[in-house]
Amino acid sequence: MSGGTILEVRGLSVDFDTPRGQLHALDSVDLDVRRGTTLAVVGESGSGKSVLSRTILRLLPPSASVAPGARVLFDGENLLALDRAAIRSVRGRRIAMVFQDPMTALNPVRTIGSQLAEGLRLHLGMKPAAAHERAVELLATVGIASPAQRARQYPHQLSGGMRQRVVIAMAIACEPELLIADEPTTALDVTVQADILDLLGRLQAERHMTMILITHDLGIAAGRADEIAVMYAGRLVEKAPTREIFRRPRMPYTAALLRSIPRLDDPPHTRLFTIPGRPPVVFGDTTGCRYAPRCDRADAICTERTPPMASDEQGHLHRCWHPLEET
Amino acid sequence: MTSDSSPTATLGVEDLVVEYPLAGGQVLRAVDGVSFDVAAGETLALVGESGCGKSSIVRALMQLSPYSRGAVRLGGVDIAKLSTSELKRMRPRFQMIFQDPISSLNPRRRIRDILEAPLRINGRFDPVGSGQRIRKVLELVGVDPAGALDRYPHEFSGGQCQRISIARALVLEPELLVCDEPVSALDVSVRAQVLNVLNELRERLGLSMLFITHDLAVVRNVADRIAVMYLGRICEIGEAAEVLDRPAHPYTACLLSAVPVADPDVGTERVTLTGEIPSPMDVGLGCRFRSRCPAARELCARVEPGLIESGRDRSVACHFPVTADS
Amino acid sequence: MSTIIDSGTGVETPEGATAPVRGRRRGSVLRLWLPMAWVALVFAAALLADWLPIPPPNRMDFAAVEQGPSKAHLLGTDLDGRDLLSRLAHGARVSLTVSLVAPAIGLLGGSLFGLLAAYYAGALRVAILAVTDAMLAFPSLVFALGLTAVLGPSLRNVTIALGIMSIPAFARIARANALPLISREFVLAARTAGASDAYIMGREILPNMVMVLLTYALTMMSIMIVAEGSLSFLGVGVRPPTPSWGGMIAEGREALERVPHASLIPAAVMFLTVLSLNLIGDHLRQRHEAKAGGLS
Repeated sequence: MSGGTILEVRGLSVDFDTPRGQLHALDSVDLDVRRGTTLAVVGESGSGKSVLSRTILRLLPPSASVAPGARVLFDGENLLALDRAAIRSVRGRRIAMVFQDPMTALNPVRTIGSQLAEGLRLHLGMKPAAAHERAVELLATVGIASPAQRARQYPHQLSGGMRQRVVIAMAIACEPELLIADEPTTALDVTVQADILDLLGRLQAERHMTMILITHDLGIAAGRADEIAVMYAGRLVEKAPTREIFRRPRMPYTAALLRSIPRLDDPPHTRLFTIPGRPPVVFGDTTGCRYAPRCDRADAICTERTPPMASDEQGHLHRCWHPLEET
Repeated sequence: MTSDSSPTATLGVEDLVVEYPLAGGQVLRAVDGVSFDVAAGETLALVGESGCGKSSIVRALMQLSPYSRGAVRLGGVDIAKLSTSELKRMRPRFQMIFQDPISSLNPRRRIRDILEAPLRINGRFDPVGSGQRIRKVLELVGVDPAGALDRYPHEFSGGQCQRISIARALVLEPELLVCDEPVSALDVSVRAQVLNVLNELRERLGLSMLFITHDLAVVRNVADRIAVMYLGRICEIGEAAEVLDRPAHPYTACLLSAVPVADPDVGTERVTLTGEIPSPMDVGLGCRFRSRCPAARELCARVEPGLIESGRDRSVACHFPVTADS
Repeated sequence: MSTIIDSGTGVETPEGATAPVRGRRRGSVLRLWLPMAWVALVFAAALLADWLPIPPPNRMDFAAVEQGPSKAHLLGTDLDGRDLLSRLAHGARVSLTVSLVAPAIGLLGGSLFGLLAAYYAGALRVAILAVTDAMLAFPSLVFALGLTAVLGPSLRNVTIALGIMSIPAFARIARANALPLISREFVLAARTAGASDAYIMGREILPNMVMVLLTYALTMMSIMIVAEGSLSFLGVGVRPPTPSWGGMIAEGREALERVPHASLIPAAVMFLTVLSLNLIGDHLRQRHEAKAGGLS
């Protein structure tokens, strides 16, 4: 597949109606994803990274409201403007999603095989026998041994890693163009995690899929993503190719985050760098940079005016009045 | 498998066996003869993936669940053999913090009550002295007492709750702090705060710690020694820096290679394991890791390797440990 | 599963959000304030019955038998010429006594047994669950009838019988709520600090169950009013001439076509009281659930 942009997000703002007021979960997010690449969306709790992924597939709860002018263009088509039947035909077929907890995606009272086959029958119109055969093939593709036997089993009979493989099989069953994986390995052991990430990488290469990988783990982003988008308090604050983010972070937040994680090559008992305070949850309108209260480079302009998204020559996006200089 | 429990060790675990009865008369052996020491002022990390038995060890050690065999020695005294009242007297010496910080604090009680409770339970409450003690432990963990004491847990963030839990554990002046995945549920930028607190306590109070985690980078930061577990047994134990730099057991090597590193220039090639994790009830003869070990040989299927000393302060349960020249 | 949880407030993910709140303000007058006003009225009537400018409840005024509402008798009279309003006010004492004391018995007894059955395994749990299951399976009205027949009909015995009957339901609720609490880390922390079982049950677990139990007790109050009414209607409740709402309905039954208000007015009062208690209970339940969602 050639390059080109498969997903364009413009002006995406999402609010939630809560007993405590309007929660600003996303604020004017603009994002491009190039076809065939992997974008890691990195952030902590309250950053809005999960809301972003759910908005693309219109999986938000009724209490959510999307800003009227927002657009999510998938292959040129605005997903936010589609009617319900149309978005249902996109979900699972052209865009697929893998969640953190496989047990929420799997029906505990149905066999693996029947759940896999269901998607094939609904989206591709396959006959039951053909769908079942294809389901077994898919199980083998995601690395499950004895797939025919496993297809007859129930989710509780599988380990966590195997369940996640099944969920991935369901996701790729209809050959989607875009796969969104929301913390797909957070609940798994580290060796299983590596296996699953290897699997996703392999599938992506084989099927020329684009992947959006949502994670809080910078190590995963470093190893598996072509580009990284950093989110903070509902805003996209930095986006660049992976090496750029790690070697030349422009946002003080990104740099601080990188300095605060313990590393395998640190000396033992290193005193880690900490960011004072904690990520905000934003109610009501705010102006100014949301990281300013915790930033050691902040000054008056940072609290008064919201920094716009700026780009340098290499296309490294950042949202900061005082970005870090090139080192 | 015996351990040379030195008399100065704060914690000595010897041949611990934890079994769970299953339907049909079968027995699941979650911990199969584990022995280790934690010396005074030392932090031992207990590392392993799910099913390795580390949670069972913690519950057994803290006397929260029964176990079939083995000795748990605190300062030389086997606490399993104590009467109820004697055990209660010992409890202040070994305390624990948990994985879920919000769930670690009773939502219906104020912080002041939560911190006073251990003192009251142990008959150590005195209106003047206890007030000072509580303030002191809060300061030790970096929480401002004036702003915290009259509040409820839901008013604090996860990182603050975890630090309050640490403060609660310190109120009774324990010698040993057992930490069960204390930072796994915290945001990245908050983990550093809690890890710094723990490291500081180790220095200032000479606290011994048993630190359970699956995150090897955290081990690097916090631990002096590390014990790696697999399917109920320790497969490698030794000085943390050494083990992490030069793993001897194939499983340790595999774990290390699977840890994602926050550096894009480090590749993702790894030592992959073959096969499936065997059922813990079906371990069979020989080394329990052989079914997935890339270096398994014929001997491994016949004879289970014991923990063999290999070098200064290092033991490996492997017939063919990875050495410098393999 | 490790979910990341550090953003500093009770509402950390959009999952804390609920459906739009706008409708609630307007509905709350009907749903909360009117019911509370009614219940307050009933309470006041019960307390002040002796001092109100109304005829005594048992005085039979043969000149004014079977009359509808009038100036002398604000709600009319019954078949024996007794003032309905006065009888309702005095009868409220019976209903309210039962509705307060019986659920209290159930609450205390049920919480105790439920907690014990949750905390301890083995013979104690099996025994408690067996007894509560048996009691729940037994038709409750028959049970109450039997108890009052054995003990003799009186306000005290009716209250005790209904109270005992409600213990199994409270026990089940208490147990169901205690079970997840027992494995929470703050309970483990208390155990590792050396706390006794009694301390843990009373100081750590019970306070977290109180709201749920109180909310259920409020529902129980309305059930008790109806239950007492049924027993009095059947003649095994409070003995005449003490007025009680159920008894008044029974007394007016024989002349329902001729003098409907003698039965219908007491029935309406009972209906409104039960409805009000239910609405208040619903409101408490909603508020409690909204708070609990933020904590878990």
